[in-house]
Amino acid sequence: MEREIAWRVFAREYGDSTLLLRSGEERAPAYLVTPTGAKVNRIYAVGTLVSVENKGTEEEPMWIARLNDPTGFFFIFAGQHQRDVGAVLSSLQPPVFLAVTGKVRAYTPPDGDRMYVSVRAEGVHVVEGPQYDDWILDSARSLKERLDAWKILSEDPELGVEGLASHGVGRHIAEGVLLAQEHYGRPNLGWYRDMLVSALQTLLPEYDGLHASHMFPAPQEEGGGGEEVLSRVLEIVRELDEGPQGAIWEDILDRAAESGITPEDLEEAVEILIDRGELYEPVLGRIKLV
Amino acid sequence: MENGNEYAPHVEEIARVLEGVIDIGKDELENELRTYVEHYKVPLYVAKRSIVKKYGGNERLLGGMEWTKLNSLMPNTPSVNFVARVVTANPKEINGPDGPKRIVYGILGDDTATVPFTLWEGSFPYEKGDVIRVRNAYTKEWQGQVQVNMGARTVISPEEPDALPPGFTREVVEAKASELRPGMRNVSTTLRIVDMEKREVEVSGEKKVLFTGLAGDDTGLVRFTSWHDFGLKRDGIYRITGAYVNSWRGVPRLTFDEKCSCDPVEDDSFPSSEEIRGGRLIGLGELVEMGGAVGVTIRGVVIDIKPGSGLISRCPECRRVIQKGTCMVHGKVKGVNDLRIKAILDDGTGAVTTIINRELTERLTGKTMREYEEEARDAMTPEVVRDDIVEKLLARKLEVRGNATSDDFGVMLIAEDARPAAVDVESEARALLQEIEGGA
Ligand SMILES: [Zn+2]
Repeated sequence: MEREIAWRVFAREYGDSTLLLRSGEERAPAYLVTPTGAKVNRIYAVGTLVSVENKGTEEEPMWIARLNDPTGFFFIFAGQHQRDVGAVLSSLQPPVFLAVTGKVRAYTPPDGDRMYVSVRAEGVHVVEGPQYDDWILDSARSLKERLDAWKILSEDPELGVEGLASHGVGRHIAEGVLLAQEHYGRPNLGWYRDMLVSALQTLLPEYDGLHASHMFPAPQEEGGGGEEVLSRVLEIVRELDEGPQGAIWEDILDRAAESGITPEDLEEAVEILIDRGELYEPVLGRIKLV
Repeated sequence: MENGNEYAPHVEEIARVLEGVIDIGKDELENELRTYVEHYKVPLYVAKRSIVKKYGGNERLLGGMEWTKLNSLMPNTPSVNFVARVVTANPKEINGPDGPKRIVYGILGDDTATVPFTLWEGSFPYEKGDVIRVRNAYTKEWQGQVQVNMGARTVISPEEPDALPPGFTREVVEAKASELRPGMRNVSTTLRIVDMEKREVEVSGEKKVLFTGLAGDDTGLVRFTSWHDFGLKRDGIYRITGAYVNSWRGVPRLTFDEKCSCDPVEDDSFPSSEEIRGGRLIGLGELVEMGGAVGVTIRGVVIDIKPGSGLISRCPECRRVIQKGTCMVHGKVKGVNDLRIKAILDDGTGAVTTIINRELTERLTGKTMREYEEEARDAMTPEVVRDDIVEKLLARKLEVRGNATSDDFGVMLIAEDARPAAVDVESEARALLQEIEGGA
């Protein structure tokens, strides 16, 4: 029996998860699959402890601690069966850097449709700044590995675990990514990439805590491969945009048709790209890159 | 960090919310706020709420954030304030409900992000490079991307160009072998050539000679390709600058040509080719998949220290660990003390049990076995030894070299060397950022 990996996942992505895999068998491990495909049973989280509260009673304590990372909060849970951990938590005075190993815990209220995800702590340990920084780096690497797997998958959506593995994607990642694809569809990769970048920026000396904010917009589903069409259209314009006047509309239409993009989709894409400030119309019937 | 009185308005706000709740000085509040933000890197709004909550105040009485960085703009926000640099701005005539109308669209950026914007009302006398302060703009969302809109209520004012830090620049990257990542450019590094072959290839109909092989330093090995004959010699040490890193099947490859420099270096302290080969760093996921390996180096966080760590007693005949003075083979014996650690090392891709012997344990904890024996005697329990090891090593990242084997319980690595892993967080973060932002 192999030991479960302690995943490094950012709080925001962990909390956004809605897929819990539980086999019918008693004592079989449960897995939480995150939007980018971390298949988590055990997690290792490091962050700043900002609050600890006993939501239970003296006799039946239920400690809930909030751990802040660069993307959001982990909710750390220690109940009757984690009394040792509860004792440590209750003795801590926030803020402190805390490392937590624990198991996935998910709860859906009887009348609710939303799943609440927390960490059932197995162990907690007070650490120092360097360990927090190091954890951010490891979590960033782990997320990047999954984003890279999605990039490969977007080029060939039919790839299975073996196919992804042949592109150098580790098996433990490939499996989770495919499960995530089935449940969530394609995640908003740009959003997770931005989250990754701002988490890493907290590690640089020029990071300015007072003026930075760690809040992120909620990830949005991408509709119908819109981003792919947009980037293909940009590519076409780039290829055709030669003279000072820019690319001729009719040529763009032809090339788009070759790529399977309908005139309607093309017009919409060009409009969006103009709105975004990536293209403009120097004269009627011509399109140029900004 | 030179923030001057910038904390003052936030401290005032906290003090206002806590008025009548608790009597606390503003200096104390400011110190606390600074600690949260600068040391613990907690976002300002979280820090303010945590402090108010801690003193029993109502955190809902705190206002929202004021000036926002572009990477933290949220879609569909009715009012946002930020400082940004104009990246592009283009006027455009559109047909509105009241006839033709002039709008301006383009891109704004700061040191965190760029966002598209549209100005629907008023004039925009700014051009590329100008820094502007924008109050009361609003955001929409298009295809998952935030768009800034400026309407009649929006106020735009000019700012000094230095009101914004410049974006992240692509400076020279100094990297060790294990830090090289695909997409890195302008890399400087010092490596020993461990293995090399000369190859002839045809590039667009032209015959070229190139040199490929393995080079490394104290952090590990990397593949390299040189497109120029620098007279490289096996076992030689070279200072390479201006190189870049590409990859083949995910394996980074340091690549350099005649535009780069590559000069021999004399350094007696540089690890030998054998040492570099022996120190091959391997991910734990890979190691678990392989099942075992000889002479590998791993890095992982100590996420658990197992029972049986600390002071133990061994049979003098067979070295087995004994309980209550009884060896399972030799029966009642006079045990010999030993010190060891059984730790779970985990790097997020795999987990292995690592056995660390007395000598290495003494080096890692800074205490000798004799000292531990004394402490255990004073406390009348060997548990204090394990507690001390937990205190010193749990949640620490170690770099361990040794031989790995596997059994029913997973992979076990017997350490020949173990030391705290040296992680240069800043340069690794920069390398990763460069790979993400430059490797598109
Ligand atoms: Zn024996």
